[in-house]
Amino acid sequence: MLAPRSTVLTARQRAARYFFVDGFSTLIAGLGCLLMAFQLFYSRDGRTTPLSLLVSLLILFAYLAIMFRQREIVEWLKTRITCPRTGFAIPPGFEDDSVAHADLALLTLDEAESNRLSEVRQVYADRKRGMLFMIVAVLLAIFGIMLIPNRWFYVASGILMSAGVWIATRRDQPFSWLILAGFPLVGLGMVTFLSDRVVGPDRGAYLLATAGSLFFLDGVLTLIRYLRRNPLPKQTQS
Amino acid sequence: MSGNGIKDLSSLDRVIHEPVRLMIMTILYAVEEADFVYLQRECALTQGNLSSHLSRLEQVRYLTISKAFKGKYPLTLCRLTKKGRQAFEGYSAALRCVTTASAF
Repeated sequence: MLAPRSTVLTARQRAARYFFVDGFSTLIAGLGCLLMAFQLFYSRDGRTTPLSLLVSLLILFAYLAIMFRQREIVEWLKTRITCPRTGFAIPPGFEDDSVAHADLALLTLDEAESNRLSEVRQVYADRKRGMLFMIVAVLLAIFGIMLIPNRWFYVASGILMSAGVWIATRRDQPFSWLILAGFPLVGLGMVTFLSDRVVGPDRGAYLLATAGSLFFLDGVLTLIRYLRRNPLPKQTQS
Repeated sequence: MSGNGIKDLSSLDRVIHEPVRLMIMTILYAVEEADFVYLQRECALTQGNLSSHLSRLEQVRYLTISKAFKGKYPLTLCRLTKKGRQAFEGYSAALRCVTTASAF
């Protein structure tokens, strides 16, 4: 018989998942990928007019803002959209799991629960391995698609990226099937419709554009679902 | 807990022992900080009910309640104090004694 699940752990996981409930983080990540892809497409002709330089700089600025200020941007949006509807919670720290587990260990109720906490440690170790796998998978996909001329590598890249995203995020924030099935399907579409003349970095740019579009779309759909389920209350707590 | 068996149960922290307050303490123990609306939704409580229990916990200094504005929206932020965390851990340890005793 399974030991009862730790209530603290459940609350901790709910709070962690709550961070993703509105889709903003996915949406912003998608926007970052789209900007990077746009920059790659825009700069491939090697144009050096003042206007093209200005556009490139603006895109670079926007991309860097998203890269380094993603958390702040997401929180700014959450403050206006999410907090009035479903409240605010600072999720448990992902940065120092050992502290979290030290706290949890104090709540051990019996031997079975102690064993469960050991399993929890294993889960966190698995998550770190999953993130590493995702990074490796995405890098393989991007560099592979740029270096390997075989058109079917589009599909292989899609499968690699889906597998990486799924393994890395399935515990904390499972992505929708739109993303998991989307990468291989779009890869198949690229095999079918993309010209053989698209080579090298352009192929990487297409992959980034695809990834960005899927993340962006998934974020928008999650946001729409969230807004429909959680209308703004007439009276807010003060 | 002094190790006197069944009599130890009388020393359980009665402030935390109340189910709604235990819910609140559990959630706040699991997060760094949460606001009133989040707690209300997670515990499925009315505003009045949650307010009264938060006040009780604040009274014994197990949590701090602060009002803040994020943008134009007011937030009532709740956070466990060190004393609150210790009390919750002590309560959990006490329950552990109960379950350990029941195993024999």
